[in-house]
Amino acid sequence: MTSSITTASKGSKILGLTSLVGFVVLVLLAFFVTDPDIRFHPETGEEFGQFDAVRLLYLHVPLIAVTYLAFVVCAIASAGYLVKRTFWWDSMAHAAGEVGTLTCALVLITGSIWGRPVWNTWWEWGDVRVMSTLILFLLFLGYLALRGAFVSPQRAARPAAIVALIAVLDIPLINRSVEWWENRTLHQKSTLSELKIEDLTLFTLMLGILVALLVMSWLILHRFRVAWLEHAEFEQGIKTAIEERRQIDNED
Amino acid sequence: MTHLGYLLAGWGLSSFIVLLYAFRLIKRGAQLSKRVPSEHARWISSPKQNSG
Amino acid sequence: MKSLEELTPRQDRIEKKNSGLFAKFAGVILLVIVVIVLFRTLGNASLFFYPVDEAVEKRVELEDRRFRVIGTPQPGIIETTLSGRQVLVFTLCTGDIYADVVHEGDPAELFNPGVPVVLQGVWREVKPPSIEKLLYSPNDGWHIETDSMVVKHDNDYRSDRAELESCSSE
Repeated sequence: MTSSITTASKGSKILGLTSLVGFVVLVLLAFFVTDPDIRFHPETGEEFGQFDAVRLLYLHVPLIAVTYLAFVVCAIASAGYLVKRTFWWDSMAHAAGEVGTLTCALVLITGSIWGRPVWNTWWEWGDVRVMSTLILFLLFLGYLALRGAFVSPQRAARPAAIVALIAVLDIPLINRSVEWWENRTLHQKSTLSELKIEDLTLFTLMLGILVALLVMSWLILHRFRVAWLEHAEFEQGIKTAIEERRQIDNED
Repeated sequence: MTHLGYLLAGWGLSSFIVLLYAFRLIKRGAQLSKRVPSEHARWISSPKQNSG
Repeated sequence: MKSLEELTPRQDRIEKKNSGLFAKFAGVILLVIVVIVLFRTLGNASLFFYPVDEAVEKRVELEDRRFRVIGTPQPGIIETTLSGRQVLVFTLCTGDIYADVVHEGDPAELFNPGVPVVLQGVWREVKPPSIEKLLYSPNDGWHIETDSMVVKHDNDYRSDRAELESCSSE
């Protein structure tokens, strides 16, 4: 029954199932229970707002939260690697970096899709938050390319850790950009910190963040295990090669 | 529902990409698990091990 | 000595080496893209907009240069034609400073009084058409002729209790 051997464990199966159930509940709340964003102008009485396009934010905002978190985990693990020099830290950095890059791509995609009806543009070159997020994505894409550039994962670990520690500095820049360059961005200021959200809308957003966290944890866990096995296979390959060479030498 | 196309594109594409990535991870993990001795992966589970 | 065959590079090693080269190449390309993005963001292509009061203050300085302006449209948006073209005429404000706008092209979906917009265009020293119908016009003999509109959405998601951008309260 070797074919059913996987990187799953009892814990990760529970995590996966919880994520799946959470996602279904989130979709139900986001699409069918919460209200669309409709306001009435006090003077003209006309209705206006994002209408149902607001439902994209229950996905976009949680993706941003987990992207930040994944990259912070990557940076912490990278620092851990530079101190401890163990494969555990490097694998964790690699896993979090890869998952963060994926969610960062989704942030850009969902942001663009939301932007078309709400901002009236798919993409705004020069918007500091959009651009600094794009730079973050490209930096971590570079991080992954750097890791792939080395045949030996051990040789890639140190330069990759340094790149991750530099790249993560972009996060506070992205986060504060709406305050620092208010007239260079279409992004609104933080809704959560000013508590301009309440009731079911707030609950759904929080649930979205929780579900995204669970999914991210599941992905990182499995990516970590894959990295671990890749490393074990690599080490095994070296051992086998050495043994083969010894045999050849003995035969000589 | 307004903006249905945008909603389906955003939610659909994101779900699809994450699922595809998760599936790839499981597949790669299963491939590697077969090749690497189980002592390197203490989380490895198989029906044989579970029942034993 | 064993046959030379043993020293021949293995195919999978060659492939790995090639993929490493590709990754290095991809890394360089990415670096170039990052530099271009930075350059675009910090350079002239950067999205930079003046609030209405600053745009009015720099009116002479801006001459016929294109610029971006942010402001809150006021009630009383007029749809009319100008030289055979379909245009929107309305008043934009920041704080207690108002400016008239003649916008050509499709407005944003969210375009509505109270929802701040970023417009791109030039100053014209001409009264806008249908000025007598504008409720908040400064009537100063100028207007901004614009052809690009994006919305700067606010951060209020309290639905019916959301506060609207109001010029007088700023």
